[in-house]
Parts: sequence; C-alpha cells; structure tokens
Amino acid sequence: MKLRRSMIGLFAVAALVACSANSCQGTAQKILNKVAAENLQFERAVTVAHNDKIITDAQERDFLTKSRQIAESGNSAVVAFQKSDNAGALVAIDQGISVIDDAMNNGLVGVKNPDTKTALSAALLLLRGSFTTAKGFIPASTGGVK
Amino acid sequence: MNAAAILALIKLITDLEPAAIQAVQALVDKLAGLTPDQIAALTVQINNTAISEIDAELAKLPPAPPAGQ
Repeated sequence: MKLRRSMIGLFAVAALVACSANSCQGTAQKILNKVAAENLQFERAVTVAHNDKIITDAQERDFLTKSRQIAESGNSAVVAFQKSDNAGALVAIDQGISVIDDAMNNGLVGVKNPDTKTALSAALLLLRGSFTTAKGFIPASTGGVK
Repeated sequence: MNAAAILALIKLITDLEPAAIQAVQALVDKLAGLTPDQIAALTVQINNTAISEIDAELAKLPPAPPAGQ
C-alpha cells in the first residue's frame, strides 16, 4: 500500500510537471464547462422544487443566490485562465467551493423532504467534486498575472 | 498530454467510480475540437444563462424580511 501510494504520488507529480501549460489549461477549461452545466442543472432543480412547494421562498432565495455566486466564480476562473492568471483562477475556484460548502452545511439543513434533500446534496457534491478536479489541473503560481 | 493519459491519471489518483469516469470521457469527447477560448466562451454563456434565470426567478419572490425578523 505504501509503495502504491508513493508511486501514485510520483506519477501525479511527474504528470503535472509534464503537463504543458496549454493542455492543462484546456482540460481545466473543459472541467469548468462541466461545472457551469452542473450548476445550471442545480439552479433549475431548485426552481422546480420551489414551484412544487417543496422548499420555501427563503430556501429558494438562499440556494439561488449561492448558485449565482457559483456561476460568477466559474466566470472569474475562466477569465483568469485566459489571462494566464493561475493564482486568480485558484482563488475564484476556492470561492466557489466555499459557497458550495455553505450550501451543504447550512442551506440543506432546513430542507424537510428527504428525496429533495438527497437530490440537492448530490448536485452540490458533484459541483464540489468538479471544482476540485479543475484545481488539480492548475499549477500553483506565485507570480500572479504574467 | 492526450485525453487517454488524462483519464488514466484521474483514475489512478482518485480511484473514481466507473460512472464518473464515463462522465469525464463523455465531456472530453464532446468538447474535442474546440479551442480553449471557444470552450471558455461556451462556459461563460452557460454561467450567464444560469445568472439570468436566477435573477428572473428571484424577481418573482416577495422581498426578503429585514435581518433579525
């Protein structure tokens, strides 16, 4: 197990080093595109739940506000990438993850319907996973904007 | 790094379930041929669609009560 983990770590480091700036950025952009699509689905699921009177006005307002922040974070990350600002992209993604965590830890608490709660939780987990995966393709940069 | 190598890396590091790997594969296939700038433009378009829908939906709601009430 130790040997496998060290091999995994070595492979990951080698892959990231070998990952050219263009290919990593391309992959990260594709994953951010996935995040955007997932967030759109989440936003629509919230609207449906509200129309079906499963969640309250306050809950819908809270979830949609967070979904808006996630979309804005996604756009900020995309723009930062295009300017080769890796640090800025990471900040934007971390902001998006923070909003998702807040929704999961606080927003979901008040949802009474178990099926809706499960569905929204799954959607948020998927979003979080995608954002985290995108981070994996962004080399940490101390230089900021090039 | 080609798409196959990326998928192999993801599986090795995260040990994803097969359904997740298929989802990533479908995404990579779907966006193949687009430049990063084209993908970025598409992403911004999707995010802006979400924002527009959210703003329209929020506008239908009654005003939020003042904090503390």
